[in-house]
Order: sequence, then C-alpha cells, then structure tokens
Amino acid sequence: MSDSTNSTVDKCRDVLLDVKRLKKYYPVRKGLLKRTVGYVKAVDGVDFTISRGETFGLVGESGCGKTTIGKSILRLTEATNGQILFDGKDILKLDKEELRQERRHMQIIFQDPYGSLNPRMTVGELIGEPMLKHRTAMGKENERRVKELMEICDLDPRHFKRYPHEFSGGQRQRIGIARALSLNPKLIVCDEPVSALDVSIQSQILNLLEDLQGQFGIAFLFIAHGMAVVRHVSSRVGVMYLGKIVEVAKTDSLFDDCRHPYTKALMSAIPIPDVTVKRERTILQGEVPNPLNPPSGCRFHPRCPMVMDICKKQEPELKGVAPEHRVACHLTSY
Amino acid sequence: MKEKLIEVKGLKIDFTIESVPRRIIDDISFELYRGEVLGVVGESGSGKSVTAKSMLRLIRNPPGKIVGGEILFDGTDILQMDIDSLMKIRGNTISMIFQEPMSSLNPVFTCGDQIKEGVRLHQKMNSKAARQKTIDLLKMVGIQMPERRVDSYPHELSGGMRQRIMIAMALSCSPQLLIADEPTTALDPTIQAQILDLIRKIREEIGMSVMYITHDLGVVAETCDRVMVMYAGRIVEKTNVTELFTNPSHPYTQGLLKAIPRLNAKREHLYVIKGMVPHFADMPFGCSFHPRCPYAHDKCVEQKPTLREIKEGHLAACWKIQGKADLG
Amino acid sequence: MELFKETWFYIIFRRLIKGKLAVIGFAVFIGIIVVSALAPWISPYDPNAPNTLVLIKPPSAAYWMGTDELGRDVFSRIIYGTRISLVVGVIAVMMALALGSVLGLISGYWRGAADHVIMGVMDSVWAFPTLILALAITAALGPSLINVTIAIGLVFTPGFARLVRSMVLSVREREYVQSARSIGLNDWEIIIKYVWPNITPTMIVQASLNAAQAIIAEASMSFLGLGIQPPAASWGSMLKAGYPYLEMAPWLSIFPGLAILVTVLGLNFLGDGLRDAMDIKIRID
Repeated sequence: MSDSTNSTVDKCRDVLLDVKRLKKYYPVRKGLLKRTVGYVKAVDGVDFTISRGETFGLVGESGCGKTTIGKSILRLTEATNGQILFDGKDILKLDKEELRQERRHMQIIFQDPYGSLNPRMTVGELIGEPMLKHRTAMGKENERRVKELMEICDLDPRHFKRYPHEFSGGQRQRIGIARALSLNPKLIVCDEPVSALDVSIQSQILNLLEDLQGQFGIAFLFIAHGMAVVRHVSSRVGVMYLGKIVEVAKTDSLFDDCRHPYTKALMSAIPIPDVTVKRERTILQGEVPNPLNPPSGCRFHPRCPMVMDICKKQEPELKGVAPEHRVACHLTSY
Repeated sequence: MKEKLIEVKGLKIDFTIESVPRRIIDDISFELYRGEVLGVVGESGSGKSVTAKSMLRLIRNPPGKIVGGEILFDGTDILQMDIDSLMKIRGNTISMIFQEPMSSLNPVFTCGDQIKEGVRLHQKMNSKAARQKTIDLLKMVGIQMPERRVDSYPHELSGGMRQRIMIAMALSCSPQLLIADEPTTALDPTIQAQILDLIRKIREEIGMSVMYITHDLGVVAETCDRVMVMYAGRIVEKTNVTELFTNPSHPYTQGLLKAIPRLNAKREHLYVIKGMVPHFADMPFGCSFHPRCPYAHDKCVEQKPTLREIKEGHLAACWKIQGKADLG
Repeated sequence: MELFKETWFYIIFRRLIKGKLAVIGFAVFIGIIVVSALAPWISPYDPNAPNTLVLIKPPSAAYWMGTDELGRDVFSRIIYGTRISLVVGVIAVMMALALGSVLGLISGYWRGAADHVIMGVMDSVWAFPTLILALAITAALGPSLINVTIAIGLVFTPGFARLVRSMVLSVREREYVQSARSIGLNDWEIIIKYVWPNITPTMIVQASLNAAQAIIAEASMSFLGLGIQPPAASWGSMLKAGYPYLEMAPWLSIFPGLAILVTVLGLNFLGDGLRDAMDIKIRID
C-alpha cells in the first residue's frame, strides 16, 4: 500500500535514496554459550525516500533508531534486512570494492565536534584524505582543493597545518563539513550536527549547510531531536518512535497540521522563546519503553493520550491522510 | 512586597591558568527574590555555571578563586562564612542540581542511600524514618513504584529518572533556594518537558525560589520570572522575562533571539552573530562584545560599559542604549 | 590569539617537565642512557679486572664505592651495570610491546575467534606469577643476558596485549574512526593512521612503568642466581655476590641497591609524569 503511494510520488521527483523495509536488530546473548535470547529492534521496518538536492529531516528521541538508520545507509552498521537503493543500486548488496566506490557519493557529519576528528592529523590532512584515497586530487592539486574547501566553509586556509584541538567546536564542525564535501557527494548524512554547539554558532553552521545545498545540490538526511532546527532546514520530515516512522510529511504540513499524538507531544514539549504565545501543552507521561520488549500493537499506546482498544492489539500502518502526508495511527481511520 | 533571598554584590572570580590569573567573572551584581525563578542565560564561556557554583562556594581553588565581592544570603555573606555554617546551608537551605545526572550520582550507592544521606545529615532522622521520607520524596518527584526504586542503582535508571533522583536529593530538606545548572540540557524533549513541569509543581507546593542556569531561551520564556543575560563573565542585560522578550535591548540579547530557529517560523536564512565568544585569556578591550556587535562605536572599544537602568526594572550594559547623547 | 604549530611531542614534553618528579624521572632516564653510552670513558677501572691487592676495600678516594670480593671497582661495575639494566629494561619491554601490540590489535580490532583464542592464551600466561614464570623460562633456556631478556619480554607480553586490546576496543568506536570508514579507508589504513597513533600515548606510559618492573625482575633473577651470570656486572648479580658480606662490607650491597632504587623510582616518576602529561592533553580537548 505504501509502496504504490511511493512510486506515484517517485515519478514526480528525482529520487536519490530509497529506503525500503529497513531493519536493524541487535541480538541479545545470555549464558555461557551465548545463546540468543531476544533482539533489540533498533530499526524495525522503515521506509522513506530522499530526492536529489532535498533535505529530509528525521526526528525522534534517544533510542528511536534515527542514528542507526543514518549509519546503516553508509554501512557503518550492517543492516539486518531491507533495501537501500542509492541512485538505483542496492547499497546492502555491494561488495567491498563496489562499496568503496559508492562511498564517494555519500558522506556523514557527526554530532560531537570533539570526537569526530582524528586528533593526530592536521586539518589539511583530514580534509585532503578522502581525495587522496579516491585519487581525485593528488599532490599540489590536493592542497589547492583543501584550501578551497576551507574557504567555502569559512575557515582560514592558512590554518591547514594546525591540529583539531586548536580550533573551537564550531570550527571543528566546519572541518568535518569540509571533509565530507571534498568528494562532491550527492548525499550527506548529518547526525545531529548542531546539538553540541552554542546557539550563536548553530545558526552559522545551519546557514552554511543551506548555502552548500544551494551551491552544490547536495541532499541531506538531517537527523536531530530538536524540532525547531529540523523545521528550519528540511523540506520533508519523518518522525520516529521506537524503531518505526510514525509520521512523514512535507515540513509545513507536518508542523502546521500534525496528526500523530506522539508528534503532537513532541512539538508541544519544545519550549518556545516567546512570552506572548500561550500554548496547550501535552506532557507525556512515562518513559520510552525498552526496545527489547516493545509494547504490543501500536508501540506508542501505553503513553498515548488518545489510546483505543484497537491500538493495543494491532500495529497501525503508514497511511496517507493528506497529499504527501502519511501517519501510522488508528485515529486516522476515524 | 518582595523580599531579597540572595544579593550578590561585585562578585569577582579569577581562574589561574599557567600561573597567570584571568578574570572570568568580572564584577557582577544581582538579586534573587523569595519565591521567584531567576534565569541566568548565556552560552559557553559566559560564566553562568561558575556564577551558580560560587553561590555555594563550590569553585575549586586552585585554579579558581573568588577574589572579591559579597554573596548575601538572608543578610549573611556566604563568602565569609566558616565551613560549619556553610555545610549547614549546602543541601539544606540551598541545593543544587546539575546537568549530567549520571556523573552527579555515585554509581556504587543505591539511589535511596544517596537521598537518605542528605536527609540524615541535616534532619537527624533514624534509618527507618529516613527511608520513609526518601520514598515520599520519590513519589513527589513522580517516580513509579518508589518502594522498589529506592533500592536501585543509578545505572539501572534512565536519564530522566536519574534527574528526578537528583531533584529528590536536592529537595530532601525543603530548601529555600534551588540552583539548577542546565538540568534538562542532556535530556530528550519530552522528558525535559516532564522535568520542567515537575520543578514548576514543586515550586508551587513548597514556595521555593529557583536560580535556573540555561542557554535555552525557550526554557527561559516558559519558566522564569526574571532573567539576566551573561556574556564573557559579565551581566549584559537584566530584567523581567516579558520585557526581555518584547524589548531586548543589549545587541547580544537581540542577536541571540534572532539567531535561534523558531518552531513557528518559516524557512529563511538564520541571523548570525559573527565571530566567536572570546577566550577568557584574550578578552577584547572595552566592551567584550564589541568585535561582534553591529553597532560598535569608538567608545565601545575604549571603555567597558557598566550595567545601568535604561527603564524601570530593566538594566543593560551597553553604550549605545545608555548614552545616546554620547554617540550622537 | 595566534596559536603556533606544535607537534604532539613538543606539547607533551612541555607538559611533562612541569612536574618536579617527572623532571627527576626524565633526568634519571637520560642519565642512564648517557652513562651506559659513555661507560668505557667514565669508568675509572675495568669492571671485570680482578685485583687481589685490594680485596673488599671500603669506599675511598681511589675507589669511590669500594672494591668487591675479587678486587674489582664497585663504581665501575655500577656504571657498566647501567648497560645491562638498559638492555633488559628497554629491549625486554620493547619485545613485550611489539608482541603484545600485535596480539592486542588483532584481538581488539577484528574480535571473533581470534580474540577468544589470543585472550585465552594471554590470560593463561597472565595467571602465572611474573617472577616464577621468568625463572622457569630462563631455567629452560639457560641463564644468560639474552635469555633473561626474552623471558622478561614474554612475561610482560600479556599485560601489553590486554592494554592494547582495551584501547583498540575503545578507539574503534570513536566517531573519528567511523568517519575514516565512511570515506572508504580499509582496515589497515585505519589501524595505521587512526587507531595506532591514538593508543601510543597510553602504551608509552605503560612501557616506562614496565621498564622499571623489568629491571627489578632482572635484579631478582640474578640475585637468585638464575639471571645474568658472573662475571657480568649486573646490579642483581652484584647484590647476590655481596649478600654473604652484608655485615662486614655493606657497601657491596648498598650501592647496587641504590642504583636499582634510583633507576626504578626514576622510571616510575617518568611514567607517572607521562601519564599526567598525556591525560591533560586529552582532557582539554
């Protein structure tokens, strides 16, 4: 059902990434013989697409599986099941050599500016390394490109012999971006790239990412738990809860007209820096359940303020409720 | 009639790095009234955490040293107190909760033990009574099945629950003032909302004052009565919360408000405050914000502006607003 | 603020010499190297030349540390003893480091069956008391400088293997290693450029602490007669030879003992200082 909705839409857009039924299960082993007693279902059947040059935001709280998805796409984590079609090729079926080739086209930026750069390499080496590895720019050309990339990312090119620890958090994040940019990728996975930065630096980095998209037509998978940031950068957004996408829509459609109770709660949880706005706040009770033992039926039902009988028994499917707006909730059938 | 609970006058703190003392808190003064929530807003390097810690003299010496000023609590200067009196205040009349609940809780003691410790220290209860009080506290902070949780270890609980344990510890002796140093920054949004709601409820119940340190202006708008904005070790703006958001006067405050992405706004390029927060070893001359300020003038480079009233109840440290005639 | 380029070694060195103890340790370390290098030129007498005219003489102007039971100058023997300590301390430890690192790396990076097997073997060796095992190996191979070095090297290998393994386990999960994989670097490139340079600080600290232990091990073994054999001037064998004369000629035992004490303490100070110097570096980041 969701497949057919997808393909109709596909024909209108230029799809770069097509994730189908992605699953990542971590086996839990106990005992001397390490028998598998259960699975942590970090990602449990996720579908979404990203078009060329667009930004798809993926939001959710800790443990929802969004970071795992990002890593699975780049095969930094091996998915258990599913298909990841990148420019038509199934990433999960590539062998080592083909994967290395494909890696040129997709890159990742991490959350922690203090842990994502090798402290023993200079900035120039860090930014230039991908190009040396894939032989796209060697020797003098490499140095020229590195300096060019540094300028694009608002870094002083004269600093290319410095080490990461000599830079601030915001600057380190830019180094990471320059490194990711060096191979002209078609897709960059941004794993909470601004969460660890100060507010005044966040806006610099977000603007930079926008500019880069405008200049180079890069698609972004923007993973975050901050909804305001996601709204700002994405053209389409997916909301995740406990390994599944519960709502996916165009940004404005999601934020102005969200349907899933979890999405509503998530949005109302964000404090707004505006004293004049009076809001209806839904404070969610309880904690995110253990992914080893997800609740029956709809995973959100124990905390859902609108829970019905059917929610406890049957897991809802993602269904279209508006143009390009799909929700996984039994409420939509009423 | 508002009664002053805390009055800080001319606080100065130095940090000694490589044998050179650097001024990291530069002559700050503020008041906290009974029953109110005072927000202390700033980014990294602003000195907000250091200010909070200095309220209970938690600054480690070396390298930090309080070199001047007074912190008056109910009339008595905390900085001059003897250790015994200070210990009677800590955890008792003034409590503190921190950002990282995992590193603030001792992993080898049960949660119950940690809460009981404060209770028994300040309230002289026997073991049984202390245990009951602990269970009551856990209930108050919204922990399910408190009779079982009291014997849990910190690693068995989630981040949100650990933060509740910390709050329970802080509240165990019904403090008059709770200092909260970014207590929800490390938590997920829905858990953050729960914790903020909890603090609000408790405040209403026991009439506690709160000093809330954060960098999140959204939290400030929703929880605080009065706010002070800090930058590079100084207070640059201080007023009530409505006034701050409707009439931000300091260019830094204005910049911050413009730079944050809004949940209810449309997509467009974000405002950027150019430059970076200065390192405390490398403070600019005159106003510390001037290299990043769109309105910087000659006077700003030469002289440090002081915090002065620009409107009733609204103070700012900026030459542009204060002496309009000066810049004429 | 204009930050100038600083290499890692320079930064660590500057941090290191801030601690008084660390400076002493470093001085001892350099001192040992210099003394052993210049031994032929600075020792007043041939350390192995017996002289029946001056048997067991107390320290004097001619013989700064006295003479031993064969009339040999104790001072010269102490000086030459630094060479043996250096060989054992440095070479045995380097051997342990090399072997242990390779095993630890394989274990930690690729995990799986190799990890189980290697750690199983390491744990079995680890279970033996250090000295007993070293003695057993030397007894099997025959006591000599080379065999003692090998024995000590083997005995310290599990320690390094465990250490390297745990460091590799922690580093390989860091985001910068994931970043390396994401650009397509293969395992070897990642190990050489990303993993190895980031675990060497800890290994250096461990090595310097182990060097001190190695010297004590050698001294113990020689004292028990299963290490360096006479007439070689090892501090341990000097202790053994001086033992029967403890009451009447204490200087035969005091000076070798002091030499061991100073060297071991110095290396320990150096190791501690290095650990602090490298730790602070990492913490500031």
